Amino acid sequence: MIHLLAQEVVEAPKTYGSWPDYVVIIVYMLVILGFGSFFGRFAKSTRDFFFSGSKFSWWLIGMSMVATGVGSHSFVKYAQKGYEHGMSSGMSYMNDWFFIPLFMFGWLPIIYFSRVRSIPEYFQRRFGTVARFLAVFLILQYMVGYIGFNLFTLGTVAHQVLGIDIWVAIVAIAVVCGVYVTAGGQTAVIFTDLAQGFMLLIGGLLLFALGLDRLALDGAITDGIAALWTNLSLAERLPFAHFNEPQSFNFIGVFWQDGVAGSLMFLFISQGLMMRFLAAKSVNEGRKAILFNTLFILPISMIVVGNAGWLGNAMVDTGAVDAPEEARDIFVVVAELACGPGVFGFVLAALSAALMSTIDTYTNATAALFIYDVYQPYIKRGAPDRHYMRSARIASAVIAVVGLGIGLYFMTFGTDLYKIHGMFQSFVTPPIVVAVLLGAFWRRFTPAGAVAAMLGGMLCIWLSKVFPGVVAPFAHGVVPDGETGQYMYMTALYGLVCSAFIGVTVSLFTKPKTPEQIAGLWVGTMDFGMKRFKGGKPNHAVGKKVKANITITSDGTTGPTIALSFDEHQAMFPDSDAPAERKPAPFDEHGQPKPEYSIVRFSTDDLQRMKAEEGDLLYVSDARWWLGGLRSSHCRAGKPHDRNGVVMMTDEAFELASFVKGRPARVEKLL
Amino acid sequence: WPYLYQYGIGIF
Repeated sequence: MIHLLAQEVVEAPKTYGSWPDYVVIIVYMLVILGFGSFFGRFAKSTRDFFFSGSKFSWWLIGMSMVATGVGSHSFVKYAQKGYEHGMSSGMSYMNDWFFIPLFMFGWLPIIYFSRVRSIPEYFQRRFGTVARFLAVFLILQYMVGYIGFNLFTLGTVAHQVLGIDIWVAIVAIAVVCGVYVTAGGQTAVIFTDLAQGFMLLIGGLLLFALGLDRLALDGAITDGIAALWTNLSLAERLPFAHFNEPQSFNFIGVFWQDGVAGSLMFLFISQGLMMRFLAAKSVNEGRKAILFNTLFILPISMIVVGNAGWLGNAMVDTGAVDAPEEARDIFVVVAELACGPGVFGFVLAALSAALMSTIDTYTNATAALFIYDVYQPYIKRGAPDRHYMRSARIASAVIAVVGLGIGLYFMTFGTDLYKIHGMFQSFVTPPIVVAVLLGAFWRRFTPAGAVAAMLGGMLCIWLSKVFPGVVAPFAHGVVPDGETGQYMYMTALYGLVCSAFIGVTVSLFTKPKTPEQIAGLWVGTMDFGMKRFKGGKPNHAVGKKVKANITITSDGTTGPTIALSFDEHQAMFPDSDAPAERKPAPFDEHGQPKPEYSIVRFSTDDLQRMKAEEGDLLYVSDARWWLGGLRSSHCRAGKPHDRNGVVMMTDEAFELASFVKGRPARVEKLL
Repeated sequence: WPYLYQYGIGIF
């Protein structure tokens, strides 16, 4: 054994990838660029551009979330933690379930049925203009900064891994993401993130398999697993780190910062994730997506991002490789040792996938925030949708350029501003999370309470930076940093408690909005929300899906209309036979266009199988499941006909859903 | 301790 090991000792790699690796990465980026840009043809309205027409299946949403959840720094950061602390490196990936009930049955139906398009818009409707202004000011700054922050991070990672200049990597990724996000909007983001999700899972698991094979020497892969496991001490094999030490990485700090504050941020105030869920075809599909992601994908992601560190730990201990000079280099050391030319490039392409998928999501989300919370309400009100659609594309391009500028600024003028952005995140997150949570789950929470929670919470967190001792009662025995005196993780718990205390106290002494004003915006009014979303009483009977051939006719069918039936549509628009003559939908009390659905017709038997009635909301999609809803539309059931297996719709409805002639449709009742 | 703390506090 010792003789074998001696043969395996190699120098820690000092060189970077070879030309096949560069070819793999460049080809991958070009494929993603073309793939993403292709989806521009499916964005026919502003709502399509930002929410993909709310028509996608759970697996598409769930898989695309994989890439969004694994950030630009995840591979390097968690590999380093795995190398230093063992398998507890991934504990932040497996502590998200505790808030899922509030998300599945609270926040998700609230945002879906109330049709809010951004967090600040929710603040406007729940708390009023002051809260919205505060939220826009804070979130917009944070998000644009975050794009630059990620671009800078990826530049440093690319430099570290490939040896290329930081600015080359920053410009390349910003251009690739900027082009396909501007062309295809949310649909491009979802489909490219689907590809990137597969890419980073396969790349990470491939690295794990090759690394285990390397550890196994001439044995089976199970020998590699045994070698990895026996190399780790008991503390390194456990799923959690030590309770409260060292201060740089301990269980209690990670639990409160990632498991509580991070989970709340991810589920409740991430504009990018919110838009992803609003792109689902129904609330149930959103629930399936979060279930799939949290129960199955996050544990796999934990292995994907952390395994290089565990392997590196075993390889260094067994002498298979020299210890790297810096622990953060362990990912590239293991990747290059375990993978041959080309395969190393594939693993690096997986790393690029993690980088691009975060940036594309934030670019699209920031553009939505700008259009819906700044441009539409304050700069250009009441313009036609095609104007906002064009503005959305321009905003996406401008935001990509601004993010690029910030990334290059971080590169040129050092990392002080970079650190400031990290600190800004710790200031902003707890107060906004508290305002959203109390707004969604406590009817008595007042507009004054929300503003006080945000401003007071930020003030308290600022105080903790000046007087770190105020965090000590929340520290669970964690000692502050020796140099700065700051508590690295526990400020999150302190910020949440302070913000909640201020918000609740102020609310108890101020006047809440009336129940009518907040109907549909807090958890106790979901039945009202569903009724308003549908435009009639919800139908909760569970029916079956039916398959139907599409027939184009205007007999009893309409294009998109706010009417609940064909007769009502005729009464509303007696002179509008041609689609082009349709009047724009009137606005509701929140200044949003009222929901419009095409009226389509099924046979009486088909409606009975779906347990649907005239006026119910249906989801009609191309029967090919693997399209994930790309060719689909929400429709309203019209008067029944007598031809089983046939769905009648207008030419306009057919075109809007991007259906293909001759292809059958699959139909299900939603509400 | 971490296991007992996470699943004790773990809100649900």
